[in-house]
Amino acid sequence: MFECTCFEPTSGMRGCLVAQSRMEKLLESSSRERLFSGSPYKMRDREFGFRTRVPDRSRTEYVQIGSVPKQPSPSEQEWSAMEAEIRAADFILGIQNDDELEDFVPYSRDTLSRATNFLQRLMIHAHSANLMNTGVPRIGPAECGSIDLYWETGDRTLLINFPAHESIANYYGKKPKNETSGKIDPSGPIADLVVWLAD
Amino acid sequence: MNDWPVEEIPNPDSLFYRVSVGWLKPGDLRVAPGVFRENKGAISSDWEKYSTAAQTRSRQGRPERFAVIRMIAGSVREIDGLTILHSPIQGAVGQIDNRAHTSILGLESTASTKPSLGRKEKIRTELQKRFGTWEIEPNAPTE
Repeated sequence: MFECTCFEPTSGMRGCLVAQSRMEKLLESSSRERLFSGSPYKMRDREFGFRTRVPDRSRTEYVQIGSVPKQPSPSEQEWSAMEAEIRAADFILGIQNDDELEDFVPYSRDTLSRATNFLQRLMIHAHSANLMNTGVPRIGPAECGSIDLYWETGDRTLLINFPAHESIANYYGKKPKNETSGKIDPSGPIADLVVWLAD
Repeated sequence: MNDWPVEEIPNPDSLFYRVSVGWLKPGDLRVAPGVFRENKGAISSDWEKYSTAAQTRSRQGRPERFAVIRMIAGSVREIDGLTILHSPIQGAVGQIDNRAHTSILGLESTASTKPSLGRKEKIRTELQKRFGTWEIEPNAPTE
C-alpha cells in the first residue's frame, strides 16, 4: 500500500515512519481538495498548513449562490422612495433669505416633521388599503416658512401646504373632471384624501 | 418722485420672475409651486419691455444665486384672482430703480376675491403648471 523510498542513511526506520505518516496526511489533504473542487464552499486546511483553492468571494456571496434575490414589492419600493424624499428634504432647514424677502420666516424642524409625519401616515393608509399608485410627492419650501407636499402624477396634482405656525394644512387637488380643496388636520382622518389621490 | 408712467401691459408680453436657487432641492431643480410667493404684497416681476431675463437675474447682484422664469401676462390674467400692475420703482428708499418692475397681485386674498379653502394652493398649482420651465436655468453661467 505504501512503499518507503527513503534513502537517508541517518534517518533509519524512525525517519521512514515519519515520512510515511506525512505522506498519508498529504494524500488525505489532496483527496479533500479534489473532493471540494468545483464547490464554492471550500475550507482552509489549518491542521497541515495546506490551503484548498478558496475563491475570492465573500461569505455573503456564498449565501446568495443558488437563491433568487428577493424583489422589493411595489409598496416597499414606494416606501423607500418616500424615505429618500424625506431625507432629501432636510435641505429646507438650511435655506437662507437670499432674495431678501420682507416676510421671510426661517424653516423649522417642527413644520417639516408635521409634513413628513403626515406623508408617512398617508402612505401607511394607502398601503394598508392596497392602494399602491398614490406616488411620492415632492417636499419643498413655500412662503412664510411653510412647507409643501406636491403630487404631480399623470393627469392629477395635489398640493398640501403646512403653515409654519398653524396645525391645520391647506390643500388643493385637481384631476380630470374633479377638483378638491379644503383644510385638513394632519393628525386627523385622512382616508378621503387617500382615496381621492389613489382613485 | 417717479417720472416713469404706469403702462398697460399687453397680454402677449412676458414677465420675468427671479427665483432663488436656494429654494430648490439639490439634484431636483424643477420648478415647484413653492417658488411662487409674494414679497411686500405682490409677486415681483420685470416687464420684458424694459428688462431682459439676464437683467432680472442680476438686479440684486450675484446672479449665480438666481434662476428666472418667463410668465406670459395674458396667461397670468387667466388665473382666477390674479391681476397685473406695472409698478416702476424710482427714487424709493432702499430700492434699486427699476422701470420694468411689475406686480402680480392676488396670491394672498384680496378684497375683491372672496376667500375660499385652498385658494392659494390652487393659484400656485396653476402658476407651476403654466410656467413650469426655466427661462434661465439654475446654475446657468452668468453673462
